[in-house]
Amino acid sequence: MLSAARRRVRPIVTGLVAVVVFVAIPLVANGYLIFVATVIAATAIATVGLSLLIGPVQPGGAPLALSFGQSVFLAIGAYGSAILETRWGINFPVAMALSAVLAGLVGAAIALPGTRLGLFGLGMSTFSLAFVIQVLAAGRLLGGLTGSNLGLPIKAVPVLGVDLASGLPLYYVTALLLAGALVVGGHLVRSRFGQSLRLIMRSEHVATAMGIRVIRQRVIMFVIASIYTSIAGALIAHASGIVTPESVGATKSVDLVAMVIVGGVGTLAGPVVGAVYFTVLSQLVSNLGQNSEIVSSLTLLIVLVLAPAGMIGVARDLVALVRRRRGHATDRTAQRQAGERAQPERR
Amino acid sequence: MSVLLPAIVNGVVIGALFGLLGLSIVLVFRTTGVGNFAAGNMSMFASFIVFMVVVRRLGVGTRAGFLLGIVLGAVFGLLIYWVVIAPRSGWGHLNVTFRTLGLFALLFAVASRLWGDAEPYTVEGLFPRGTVNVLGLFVGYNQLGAAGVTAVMAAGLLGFFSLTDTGLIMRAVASDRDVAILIGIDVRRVELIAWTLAGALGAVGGMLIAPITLLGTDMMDLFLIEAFTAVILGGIYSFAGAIVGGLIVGVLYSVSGVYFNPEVQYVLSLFILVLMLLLRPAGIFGTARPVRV
Repeated sequence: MLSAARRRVRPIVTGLVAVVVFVAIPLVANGYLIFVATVIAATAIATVGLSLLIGPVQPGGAPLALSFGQSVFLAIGAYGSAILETRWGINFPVAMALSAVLAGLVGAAIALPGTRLGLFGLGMSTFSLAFVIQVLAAGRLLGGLTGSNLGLPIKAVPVLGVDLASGLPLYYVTALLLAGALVVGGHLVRSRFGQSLRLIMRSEHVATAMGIRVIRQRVIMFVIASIYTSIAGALIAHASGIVTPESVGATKSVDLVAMVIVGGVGTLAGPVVGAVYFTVLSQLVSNLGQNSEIVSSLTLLIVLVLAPAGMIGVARDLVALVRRRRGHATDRTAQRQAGERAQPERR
Repeated sequence: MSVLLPAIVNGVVIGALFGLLGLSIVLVFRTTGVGNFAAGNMSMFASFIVFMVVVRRLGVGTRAGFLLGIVLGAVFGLLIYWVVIAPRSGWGHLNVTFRTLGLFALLFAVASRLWGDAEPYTVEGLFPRGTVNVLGLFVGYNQLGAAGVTAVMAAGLLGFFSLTDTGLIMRAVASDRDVAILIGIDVRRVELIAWTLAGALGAVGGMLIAPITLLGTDMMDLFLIEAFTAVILGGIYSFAGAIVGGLIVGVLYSVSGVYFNPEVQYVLSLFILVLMLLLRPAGIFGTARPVRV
């Protein structure tokens, strides 16, 4: 049984474990592993944002919002920070923050019309936008800024003599930002704002009747996800040392959606698990000189068909199963979960 | 004017192809409620099978290959429905829409793996190379043929929906799925037919497009975006609207290409998409659907 005391202790334990892992990785890892850990943590910032945006979807239910074009914000973060640094000599944290502000504004500009479109419309227009941004990044029109197909190498400006934008310092910056993103996300979920979002997902009409400004709440969440993703874009770009149109291409949008779903949509831990799985997979496979897209898209399809709650959902079911086997038949959590599953599909 | 008129004619041809892909998207969306993000890559994959395996490897002639391709496309659509779409589709429209996104990525990845190294390929079209004089303009046989085939396909589909019993049933499911279930329509069968038809349509589209744009793994990206725009323009639920929307988008695309560079063409089409969604979300042909509370 998960008593109130254990409920209070659990996040602290999880946090402690996370801190230990976070400090321990650089002690045992070489430069390459630190690079991989940085990319994982950065990617996780983007997937956490997207997971919050889509929300905890029930089977047959509607999401809060949708974006098949998160690579647009990866692009804003990556190109934005790279251009500010290499052109204007602005240092890395400030450049990242400025491009996050820009991403927030662009996110609002997309979400204001976008969230009124219905899901298919929003999915299609964000997907199209992702292609357009990739074409623009690769093309000659903005070639002076983006370096076209060759990409834009990043020359980071040190902060107070410390180069935060590569190697171990970048890893620490990224891990701290991920921790921040998770803490903020956790507060969002528990706050009145988060409650209103869940009510909107259950019934937009009830939410409207209760005085919740549905469009405004959706736009705010979209802006938050945009900011998260642009920060991820800036961090990944700095870890790689270069921004290319491919690195912020439309397929990256699909990858981010896949990570969120495979991990567990609507949760905070799920998208982190998804980011770990996909990044490690792509690194392992690319070391063999192959492309990991076949395995990753197959994983996505299998999860969607067999376990739509993702890896986190599977883990929860397993835990509940073990508890029941051990004779905790009266376990309220397990009962409640079983009850929720037994409920007929809501239409 | 001397530049504009050929651009318009070209736009009509390419617009017909946008419309053809749009038709397959509308077909699936109306009958199953799922936006098919894999529509473009299903086309791409089917045309790779036809041109690389059936024609090049097995040495089948182009015309026989084209006919075989329609059948293969239909089987491909059927398989996708059976393996990817149908199992546990009760998880909901969103879940299935995500599946089409996964399929989009999977088909691209497999095609890149198999044929990506030497792409793009020049392929022999159904129609001879060269141009024909239409009202003083020189239009390629392949372009003209593509427009003709699209017109025939569109007419055939509209006829199928308005004249046959199966078509009637499919329209019933499209207009109200719940009522269709209540009156005893086998919705699964309707979905199966929709995906099979979408596969065949996609294969035809791909086989018409590949000789014009060259056969490559990313050949359908532009067409998918433009088909989305066409579908929205025509009202997501309208078959005729998809074709008309395709023609409008095609002409705008082609004409803007005369004055601006290719990147602006992409931006313009996205601009039309968003503008249309804002001003008239139901599209040119659509009517606003009331929402039940």
